[in-house]
Amino acid sequence: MRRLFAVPPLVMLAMLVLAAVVGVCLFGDALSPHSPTAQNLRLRLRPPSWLGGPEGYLLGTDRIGRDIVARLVMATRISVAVALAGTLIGAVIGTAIGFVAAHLRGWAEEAIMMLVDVQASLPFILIALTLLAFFGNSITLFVVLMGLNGWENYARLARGVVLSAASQPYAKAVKALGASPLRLYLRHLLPNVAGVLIVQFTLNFPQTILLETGLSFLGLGIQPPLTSLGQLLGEGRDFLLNAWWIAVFPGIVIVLTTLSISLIGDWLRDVMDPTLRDGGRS
Amino acid sequence: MNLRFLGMKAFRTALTLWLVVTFVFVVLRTSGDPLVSLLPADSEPEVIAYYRTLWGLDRPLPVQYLRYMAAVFQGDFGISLRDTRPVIDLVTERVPATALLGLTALALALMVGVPLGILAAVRRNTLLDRLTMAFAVLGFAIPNFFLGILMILTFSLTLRWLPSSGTGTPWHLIMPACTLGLATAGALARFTRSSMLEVLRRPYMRTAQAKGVAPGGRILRHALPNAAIPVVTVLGFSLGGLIGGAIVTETVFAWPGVGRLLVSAVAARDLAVVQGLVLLIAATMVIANLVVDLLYGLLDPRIRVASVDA
Amino acid sequence: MPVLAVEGLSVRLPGGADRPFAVEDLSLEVRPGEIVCVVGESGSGKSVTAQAVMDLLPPDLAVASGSVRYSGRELLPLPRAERLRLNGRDIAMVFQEPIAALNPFYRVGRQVEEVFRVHGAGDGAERRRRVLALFEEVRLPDPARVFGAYPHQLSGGQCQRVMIAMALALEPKLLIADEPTTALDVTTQAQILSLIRDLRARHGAGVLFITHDFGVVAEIADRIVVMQTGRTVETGTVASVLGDPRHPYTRALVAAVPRPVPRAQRAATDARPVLAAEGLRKVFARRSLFGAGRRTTALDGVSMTLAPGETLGLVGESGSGKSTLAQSLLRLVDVEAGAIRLGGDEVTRMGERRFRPLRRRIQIIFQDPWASLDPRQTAVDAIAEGPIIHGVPWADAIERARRLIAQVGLDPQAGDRFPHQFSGGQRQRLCIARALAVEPEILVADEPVSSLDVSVQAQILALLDVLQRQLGFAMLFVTHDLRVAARICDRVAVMHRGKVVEEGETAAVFAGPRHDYTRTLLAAVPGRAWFDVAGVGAGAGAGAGGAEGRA
Repeated sequence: MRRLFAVPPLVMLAMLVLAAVVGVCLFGDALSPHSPTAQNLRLRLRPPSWLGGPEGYLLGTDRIGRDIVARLVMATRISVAVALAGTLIGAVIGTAIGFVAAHLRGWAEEAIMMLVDVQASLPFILIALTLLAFFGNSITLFVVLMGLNGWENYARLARGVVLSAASQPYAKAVKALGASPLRLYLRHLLPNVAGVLIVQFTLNFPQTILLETGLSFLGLGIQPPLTSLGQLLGEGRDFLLNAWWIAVFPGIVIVLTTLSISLIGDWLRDVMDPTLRDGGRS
Repeated sequence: MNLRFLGMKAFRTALTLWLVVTFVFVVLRTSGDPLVSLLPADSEPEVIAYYRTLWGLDRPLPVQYLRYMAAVFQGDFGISLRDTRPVIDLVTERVPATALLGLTALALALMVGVPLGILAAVRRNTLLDRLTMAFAVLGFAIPNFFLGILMILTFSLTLRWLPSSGTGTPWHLIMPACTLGLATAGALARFTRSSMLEVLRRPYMRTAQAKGVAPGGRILRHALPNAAIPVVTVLGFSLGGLIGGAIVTETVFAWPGVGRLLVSAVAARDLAVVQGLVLLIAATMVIANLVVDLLYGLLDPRIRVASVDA
Repeated sequence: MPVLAVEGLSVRLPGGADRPFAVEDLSLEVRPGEIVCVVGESGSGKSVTAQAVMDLLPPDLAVASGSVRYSGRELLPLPRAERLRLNGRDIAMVFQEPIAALNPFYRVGRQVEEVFRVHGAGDGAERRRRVLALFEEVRLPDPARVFGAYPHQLSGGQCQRVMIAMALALEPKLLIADEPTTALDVTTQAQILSLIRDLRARHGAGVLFITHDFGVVAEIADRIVVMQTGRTVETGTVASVLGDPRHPYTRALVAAVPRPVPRAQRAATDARPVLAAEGLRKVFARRSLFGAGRRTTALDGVSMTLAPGETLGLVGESGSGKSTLAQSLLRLVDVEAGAIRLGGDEVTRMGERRFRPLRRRIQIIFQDPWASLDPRQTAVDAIAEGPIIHGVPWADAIERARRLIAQVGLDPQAGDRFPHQFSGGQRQRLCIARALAVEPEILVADEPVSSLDVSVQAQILALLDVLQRQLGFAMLFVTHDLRVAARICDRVAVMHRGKVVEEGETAAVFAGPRHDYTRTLLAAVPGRAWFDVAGVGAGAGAGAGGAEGRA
């Protein structure tokens, strides 16, 4: 546990950035006097105020004169919320499937693991595009899709750690004491595998953000009047020549978010990796 | 080669293909009338009648399912809504562009990622190692659509060195290939590094040193072949990432490939094209994965040569 | 002139270690044709010494001072490339894990050939011929087949022979063997030791032999260097060190070595057995969609009984099925056929829910004390869990746990610590306490001392002995080590390939083994001759390195 406090500076920075992103989601309204939907047709495609743009528009305006800062706050909220909901759904479903596979063993386990392999061998974006094309886009379907992304990682991981934990002598000893399976799973196995699952969560979260923003960028994800970071970027793509700020700022927000979470996730994984730990042999 | 290994892999390949076709069929049947979905609205009655019989839509569901599979395996995916041509023709003319882009990106990723990973592992905890890891994390965190836009902004609009879209000359290939290859290069560098580190601390590396093998020989002859085996397995996943990435990258650079066709087909709900593309891309992926697995089996003596009980 | 002369060698540990030097002021000599054993427990610095001689130290260790001379030539100041040229040609090494020490990617013949290639000896055909001759010399069966085999196709003993062939390839004057038989079964160990002795005689090389096992030392050494935490505590000939150890640490170590001399027989009881098994059968099959998969018969019609308060030893080499038997008796492994009776109850096919209350009567401790405790549970909680499951009120259970902690020789105050804050021996004490907390009638001990240093081993065996006398439980003691079995068991059952081949009172089995396999096993016990000559009785084995007991 002592090592938890020896946070490398880069990870510290990542934590600050992540805290800032969360802060923007919670209190972002204070950042701009404008509403994200308020149009001002006289102020279209204006540069950020510090590059000679109009007062009060810190990052400039878009093609119908909306404030980029206000748009960014709204988009960040939606992107983070969708990714969070999606990752949570995937984590719960995947972990449950993994636990079930590890508990049942036999044919059920093999069938589940084959499905996991099939899912892992195909890019998820293909499945997402198929469903979006045939069923049409809705926010519910979209969030469910985000949730399905990466379930196989949790399932594989959960099964693996449960199997390896259950084969540990301590699990056998507890079983030999007469503990019920429920006691074994909840009291002994879950606490010992929780760390691994949390790390997987931090590694999966950026992937979900990238999938959401990617689809939204293509115009196949979040639809107006809602907006997401990817959709903002997609809009800005048509104005690169004379209004680069519309595309670049949302991009920077995406990179900062995914980068900081990845860094934190990598660090967490290193901290929890038993081969890197001193093993506690006093 | 080990027959059990071969059989296992072939079975998994067939299973995956079957699951994908079934998945598309289920989606097709649950989302509406396939004749409406897969044929242009103004199709001739004869065409509609032809496909009704071909897919067996007047027959019970299991027959429809079998008919659909038969049609799919013969390459008949229906007719495009937008330009009323058979889907298979539309797709095949787009394949070379995507293959060129994908293979270039893969080659780039291999040439950059693998050597960087090896160097980072051998020179662990040096500046080079840290930069490589930073490159890998960044490659993972930057979405390729944003990277593409930054490149267009820099090299096309500002510096005017490279064309921002289209195809034709090698110059057109540079930015899309770099955009697509970066994430894969990062992932490969990272994976090669950890695989190499794992191998370097194996007892047989110490044996090599005790034999008097020079450092270069130890890395190249003793560590590298063993470290390469797991790297080959991630190539399969890298291919998936490349195809997924190509869908976005082709759109950014208006690259006339399969990915761009898919995006425009989804946007226009040209469902015949969507299902045809999804099936073909999935099939390509699955077969590529099989090739990678067989390569893996050929490389690793522990799989190639079954152990005998002494 | 000695082939190896080490003088005042110190190797510095990285900062933050428990001591500044891995090896401190070490001196030793190996003369041609002589086998010098470096003996010590884990952490004594014996392997680091070997690595320093061959310039194989891990990057965070560095030689601080001293001199290493090979045939009179000082090695330490030489450039690395120069020292590398000596490796394999003048000094060669054999390692502990023979299969892992060979590169899985290449055929073993090629790996031996590489020694010739690296040092520029012979052409292709000539090299192959020499490798085959070497394989012949180390008594590998069918050298041509072995030449083309991959390491995973060979057994551990065969791989070790390949490693020895590799080491001998260029007739080095010095051979370093770092625990070369520790990972091998006892019969294989005996063969490898006799091979090394023969080769020494034939090639006249000096051998630096590193081991933790005094039995092995007695088998093979001409002279002995005893090490403790990086320092030499005693050196001398085998006869002087083993026969008349002068340093207290050496004396304690020698005393702690379990003798293959049966313990005094205790009065047999005619009481009904607390545990009986009949015709147990277990086949492990790697199920697979293709092909039948590999099937291993772990238990092939095994029967046994255990009387109240007695200790039955279950002896066998790896793969004999002894651990499977132990775990199947607790229903941690399900058998395919046979019957298990726990007291009066037939439990073989009893539902898990019905069996659970009966589990109190039979408990188990395992080999690896590091993995046997839930890392997130304090010592007291771990020990109290069993009584709580079986309905003891929480406060009473905690009270009982604290009492047990004291009873197994630990400081009761240490009960609130987590497993990683205890040493290996202390953890094994905690595991014993946890098992005894539910007041079982039977304790199954599955290789409980195999991963412990010999001094700690002696303490744990003594503890089990004392506890058994106090509490009167019967014990099934699984071990691969006949010497350990002799110390603690009333009866022994010898297992071989899933069958019990011989069973009887310990003294009777040791004195007159009836089955061939038992005879082979007994003959292979390292240091037998020494034990016979020394004629030491069943040693009391009172605590060597007495620091272990207290938390």
